Amino acid sequence: MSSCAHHHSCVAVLSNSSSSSFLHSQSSSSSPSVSYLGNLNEQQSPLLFSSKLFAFTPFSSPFSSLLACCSVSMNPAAAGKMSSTRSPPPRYAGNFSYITPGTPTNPVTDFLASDVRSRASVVACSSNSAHNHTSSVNPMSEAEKEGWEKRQSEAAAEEKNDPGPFTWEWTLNWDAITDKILVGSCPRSPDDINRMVDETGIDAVLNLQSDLCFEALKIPFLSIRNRAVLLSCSSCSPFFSFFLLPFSFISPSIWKLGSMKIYSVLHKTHHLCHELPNSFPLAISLCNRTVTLAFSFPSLLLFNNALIGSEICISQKSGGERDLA
Amino acid sequence: MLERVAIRDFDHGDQVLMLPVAVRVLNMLLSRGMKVYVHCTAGINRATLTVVAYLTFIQGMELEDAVQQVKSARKVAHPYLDCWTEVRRRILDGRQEEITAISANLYETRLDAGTHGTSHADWVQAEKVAISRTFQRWLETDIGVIEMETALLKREFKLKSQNHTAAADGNNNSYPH
Repeated sequence: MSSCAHHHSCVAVLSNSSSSSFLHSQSSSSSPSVSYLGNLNEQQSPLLFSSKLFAFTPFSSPFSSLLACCSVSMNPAAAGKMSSTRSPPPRYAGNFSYITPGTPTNPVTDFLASDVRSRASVVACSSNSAHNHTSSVNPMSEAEKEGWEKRQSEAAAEEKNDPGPFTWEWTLNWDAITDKILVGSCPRSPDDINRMVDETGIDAVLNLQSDLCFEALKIPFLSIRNRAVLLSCSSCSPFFSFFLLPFSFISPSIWKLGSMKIYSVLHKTHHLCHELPNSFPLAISLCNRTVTLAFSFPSLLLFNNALIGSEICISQKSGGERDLA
Repeated sequence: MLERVAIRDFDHGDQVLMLPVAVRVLNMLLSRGMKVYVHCTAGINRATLTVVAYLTFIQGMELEDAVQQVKSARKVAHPYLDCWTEVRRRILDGRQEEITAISANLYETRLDAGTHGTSHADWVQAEKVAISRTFQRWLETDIGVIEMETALLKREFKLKSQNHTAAADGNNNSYPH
């Protein structure tokens, strides 16, 4: 039985480091610069994937920062050395309310603000596991406990004298049946999906649980599903994110040039389909530890300040755009 | 990517009903070259049953071999084999004529090749072929739906991109340089 260690999400937000900057958070020079970086717990950093790091910074040089946005190697180690000064997240326009936990309003914000439960970050290991540590969790409900007891009794009836290694305690575990098929227990949080992808290299998950299972284990299926969708940019990488910024102070001609070029690049790697308010198609995706930015020129004229953000849809090269909103 | 086929735990009847769908979806994912994580709640009953069914119905393995493979890899596996048997029976139900034809073809092929065998073995193999062909037809249907949806989405995306480009050109022309 294979297993994995729990990953703590790491986030960097609003840093002044130009070398690792991806986003511009403030459009006005009078706006305060904010440093917000460090290891946050899952509730504080719902927008991040495990071991992934994102950073925003005010542009000291808008266009150069834009170019930096286009292709920036993600270096979590280097990012970890950045300032850990933490202050309250800035107030953004657009859809950035998810930076702090809040009430989910749609599937994406649900994903971003999902109530990832630390209790779900538990792994069981078998004798052939390289990571030989085991943790257990209490049953979420009486129904869950009864289910485990029933499985155990069935196994005992079949094996006569050996009820098997399982108790009713839930653990995330899996085994490879073939080189393309793994069988395992259910993910119980979006982060479990990350761990499954990171540690097994899977491209897809086939969930066979009924609604009763979700209720018994209090599984946030929608959040899990959305995380899986976001990780489905399999031709790129299992992790990416998005954000948006103010560009009004940049020369429109420069924006158009950049827009066309970046959009072209983006087009070659994956499709992106989503529109910000006012038909503002713009997104930044993080693929293969590289940030990619796409936007359209006319939208630049619509926003003079404030951070603009929204969900994006990314599909594989083969098509199949998925609307996350 | 995450696909879901809801199957009730411990419910043999529901597993019989939904097992073909689960195998169909698993087959679709695997046929697209994906590495798939199959899970129910514990990975004991439903997920292992689905994989056993895939190995037998799609890959043509013997049931005992498939169960052995699954159990050797995952010791806690406990697939409801009565569900597998019932699903198989339902898939083959009413297809005697088709299976007879396949069996006859297998028999003639075997004679031409000069290999040993029995009519019973031919019949069993014919049933396997019939089941496999069934899932193949379902797969072709599913892939066809995916391709059509993809084509529609691509077209929609292309049209949107063209509209945005046109709007960008218009705005750029009106901007004072």
